[in-house]
Order: sequence, then structure tokens, then C-alpha cells
Amino acid sequence: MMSDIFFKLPYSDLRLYYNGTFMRAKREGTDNPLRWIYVEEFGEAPAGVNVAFRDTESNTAMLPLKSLKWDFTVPPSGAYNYKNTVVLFFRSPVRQTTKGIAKSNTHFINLMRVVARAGGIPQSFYSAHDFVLSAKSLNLLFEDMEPVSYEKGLEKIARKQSLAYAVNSRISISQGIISTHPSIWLKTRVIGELDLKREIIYPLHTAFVPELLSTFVDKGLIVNQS
Amino acid sequence: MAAKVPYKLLRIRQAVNYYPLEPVRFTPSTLAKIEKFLVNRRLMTAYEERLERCPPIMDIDAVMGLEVEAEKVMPALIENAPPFWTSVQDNSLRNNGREFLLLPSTPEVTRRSLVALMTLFRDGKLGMPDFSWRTSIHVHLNMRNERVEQFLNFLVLYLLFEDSIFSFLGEERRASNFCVPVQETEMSYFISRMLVGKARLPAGLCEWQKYSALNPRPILYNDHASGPGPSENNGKGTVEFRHLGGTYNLSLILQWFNIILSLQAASRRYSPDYIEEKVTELGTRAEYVQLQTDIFGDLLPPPPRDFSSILYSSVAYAKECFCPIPSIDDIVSANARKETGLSQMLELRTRGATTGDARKKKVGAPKLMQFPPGQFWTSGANGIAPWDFSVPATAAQAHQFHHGMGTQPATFVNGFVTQYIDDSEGDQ
Repeated sequence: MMSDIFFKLPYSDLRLYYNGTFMRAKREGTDNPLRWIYVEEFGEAPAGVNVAFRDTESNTAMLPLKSLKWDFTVPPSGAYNYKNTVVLFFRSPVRQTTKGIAKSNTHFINLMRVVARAGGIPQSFYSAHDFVLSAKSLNLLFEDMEPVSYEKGLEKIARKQSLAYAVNSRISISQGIISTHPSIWLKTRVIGELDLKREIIYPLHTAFVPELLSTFVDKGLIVNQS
Repeated sequence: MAAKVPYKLLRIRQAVNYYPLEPVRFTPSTLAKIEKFLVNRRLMTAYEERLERCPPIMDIDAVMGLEVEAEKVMPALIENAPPFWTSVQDNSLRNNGREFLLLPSTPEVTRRSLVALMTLFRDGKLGMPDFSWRTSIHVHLNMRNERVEQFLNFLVLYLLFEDSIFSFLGEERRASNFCVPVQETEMSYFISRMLVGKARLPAGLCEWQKYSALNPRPILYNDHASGPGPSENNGKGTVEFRHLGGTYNLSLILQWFNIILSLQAASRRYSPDYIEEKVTELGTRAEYVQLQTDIFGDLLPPPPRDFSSILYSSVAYAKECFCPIPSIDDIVSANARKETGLSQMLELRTRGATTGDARKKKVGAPKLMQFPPGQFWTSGANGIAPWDFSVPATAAQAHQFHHGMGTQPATFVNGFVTQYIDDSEGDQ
């Protein structure tokens, strides 16, 4: 969606495409960064269309549509650090009409969800790290999380201070689920283990050896290819 | 008694119990029908000029169908569509939007029918339809006659070149929620299950979502059918390409057709083993360019110089399809009684959460450790050492400050730790 098209959309189409979705926006003329907002409703007014939105969990505002600067890009799908775990963001191409980000067109998956579902993590512990779709969570996920360096992320794993962290948009490292060695994930699949003491990665499948090599060799790790 | 044909060698129409499809073929009678229509509308010259400017279409044994969405379609145009075209209302469109549907046709008939339709549109005597941002041109490719393994080849080859296809057709289509790149979805899991023989077509396709850029659901399902949900074995037997936005650019459309037909030709030409080997071992730009040229000639743009942008997106996604996904349920249950990194963490956290009487009885009362302001401290195997923080801690850090694996928050003054309770067992 381009902004020139967006501002020409009739009220009915705005409601169809954007009601109940999350968008990045900011007030025109301010130096504030773009933030995720929850679009609640559109209203017709003599001077144009107004939009009611929530920019945090509780603050609701109604402003003319054109008084906001809107961003229509979708964050790249992949792994994102979130609190002390990793959340994977996917787009879900189900039949629906919404644009922006909504439950109907995206998936946010905690990397450890499958482990929790399999009974590997108590629900009470897991839920503290889970992602619930809201403007606040989106801002934390896409805008506010401080980058986790490879060394810092690994240190937190070794100290058992985090469940997982994302090395890049595809590869994450979690607490070991096969052995005491941290597990390496490619999106939602386990692809290897990392022996921290010996600094060796043991891949579970040869298909990902090139990607493991390019991700970890410059970090001083060896990928076992035997 | 005849030996049972392996599932992957079955034709899709056999696998899902369809009749073969009889397309509109390029015969003198077909050509005569198109030309008669154009002569009657005095469009023959314009049609021939357009046809001459259009690139040729690949001559392979294929059947295609088209859905051309357009807005501002006048009623007279609906009543006077060229032969082999019908039109239906499409609620996703505005301003008298219609979807023009081409009967299943061989490639050359598809090409000529499309040129005839665009000539009629361009002529404008019955109104000139608008290809607004809402419109798109969907291409359906018949799969009924393909073997199951050829269809799987087709999927993998498509995934391998998905980035190049979006580069060719326009990156803005990537952002559309109605044409989502497959690599941005979770479909690799289901493709993988079909490839390794753990799922048959119905199981794999029912998980696929309609608004994927490549949508193979129509092989089996009719998402337009009325009723509570999609009905199985009521599909067209086709895969749908949703990439192309509405356009009058016939050269672009024809080139797109040729890319699709090249994919189908390659899916028939290469064996599954060859494709698996090629995909799983593909690691350099030169190898990728070679395979792309073998399949598409010069139809697709060359990959970017920074090959990693493709290697770790579409190439990696195609590789994922050949990698059986370990079952996390199996892993967790197999290791339930074994010590894992996760179980160690949980044990420490649980111990921290229940720190209290039980632990006090076991290890004695926690020691109160005092430190001067100005530095974090931690203890490990080598004794107490300064924590390498050069700035005062935030409240969040303060809360997270643990001695080893302990969980008791420390006391902070002016952002610096002054004391904490040593609730660990000194085993770090």
C-alpha cells in the first residue's frame, strides 16, 4: 500500500483493511520515531477521515488520518529477540481482508512454544516469556529490544539467564533440549548442538552446514562435518 | 496382477481421482473463432500489430488458465468478451470490477486469447478497463497430468527462485498480504513432510493458504465453493501464481508465462534425486546462475552480487524442504529423564522460586554479602571478581542481578550493588 493510495481510500475500505490492525505511525511534523499503534476505528468527519487508535495499552486518541505519518512496510519475517527468549515472526497468507499486522495475517511464535507444548517447560515459567499481540509488545519486539551481541547472548545462555536468543533472523540458540549443550535452531527446527567447551557445532543434518559455517566460523567455532 | 505404482509416481489426477482436462487447443477452428471476433469488432489490425510485438510463448505440453481482474468494466464489455473468456463479479474489486476467466488453454491459445482481450480493452469503444492497485492477473497451471514427484520438483524449484521471481515482477508485491512469498510462511514444514513421504498431497495442501504467492490449493480445493468451508476434490487441478499485478504490459505478462512454463519443463526434465542434490549442495552464486540459466535462459534477472541475500532466503528455504524436521515431542519425551541445558535452567529457576525454608534447612541461612558502592561483583569458579559493567545498573538489571544462579534481587544504592543475598550453593 502506498500512502497516496491510502489517503484516497474511502471510509468503508479503510475499515475493511485496517480496523483492528496494528500499524506503524507517528504524528506529522514531529521528530518522534515511528511506533506501533492499534487502529481501533475510522470515523467520517467534514474535513476528512478520523482515526481512533491506541498508542499504548491504555491511551486512546482520535486524530485526522492525514495528521499522522504512516508506514506500510512489514517487518522482515524471521527470528527476533524478545525478553529472554526468541519470537519468530511469520506472515500467514490466509484468506482475509486485513492489511497491517493482525492476528489473521501474521504468526508470532515463541521459539520454545513447541517445547512447552511437549511438556518440556512448565506453563507458569513459559508464559512469562510469551508474546501477546499488542502495540506495546510490537514496539518491544521490533523497535525497542536492544541488539544482543553474539557474546552477550551466549553468556546469558551459559549462565541459564535466558531461554534463547537470536543470532540472526534465521538462526537462534536455546538452552539445550537434547543434551546439556545449547541447541541451535533454524527458525522452528532444531538443526544442531553447540559444545561450548570444545567450541564445536554438531549439525543434525548436512543441508545446513554451509549456513552454520557462514554464521559461526567467524566467531571461532568449528562445524563438525564428519 | 500389476505391481502397485508408488504414490510419488502417480499422476495427480490418479492420486486425487480427477478426469484429465481437455484444453482449448491451437487449431484452425480455434484461430478462426478468435479472428472472426476481432474482424467483427474491426480490431484485427490492432491485434496483429500487438501479437507481432509480443514475445513468443514456450511450446510445451501444458494447460494454462487466466484470471484477469479489472475495474471500470462497462456492461457492454462484459457481454462482448472475446471467445473462450467469461467474466464474473469479484467482491474484492471496486468500480464495476470484474474478473475475466480464460478457459483452460494450451500456451499459444493463452497468448492469442490474452492479446485479443487486451486489444479489446485498449480499443476503448466499450470502455477501457482500469488495472488499479487492487487488480492482479493470476495464472493457473494445470497439474492433473503431472506425477506427484514432478509437482514436488516444481515446488522446490519455485522456492529456489522465488526471490528472483519477485525481483522480476516487482518487489512491492512482496508486501501484499494477498501474495505472500512462500518463504515468509511456515510452509516448509508441510513441503518437507510431502517430500520425505510422511504426508500425501491432501494432507500437505490442506495446510497451504490461499494468499501465498504460489498457491497449489486449487489442485484439490475449491476456495470459492459456497458452503461452510473449502470442499476437497472440487478444485481445478491447478497451481495458481498470484504474483502479477494488473497491467496492460503484454511483454511482461508473456515473459511471466514463459518463466512459469520453464519451471514446469524443468520439473519434468530433472529427477527428484538430481534436484535434491543440486539444492542441498548449492552454495555459490556461480552454481545458482548456472542452474537458473539451465532452467530459465535469460528470462529472470541475474541474482544480486551479494549472493547471501538469496542464499539465506529462497535457497535456504528450498534446502529446508529436504531436511526432515525433528519432532520436538519425541525429543522432549526421549530426554525427559536426562539432564539437558533446559532442565538445568528450570531446576535452578524452580529452586530460586522456592528458596526459603526448605533450602535454608538444607544449606543454612543465606549469607549477607556487603560490597562498597561502585562496582558489581560476582563469584564463580575463580572466586569473587568484578563484574564488567562500566555504568550504573538500571532497575531492570538490578532485579536481574544474581549471584551465580541465585534469584534474590540485590540491594542497590545510586545504581550500584551494595549487598545481595548469597542463595546459591556455591556450585557454579
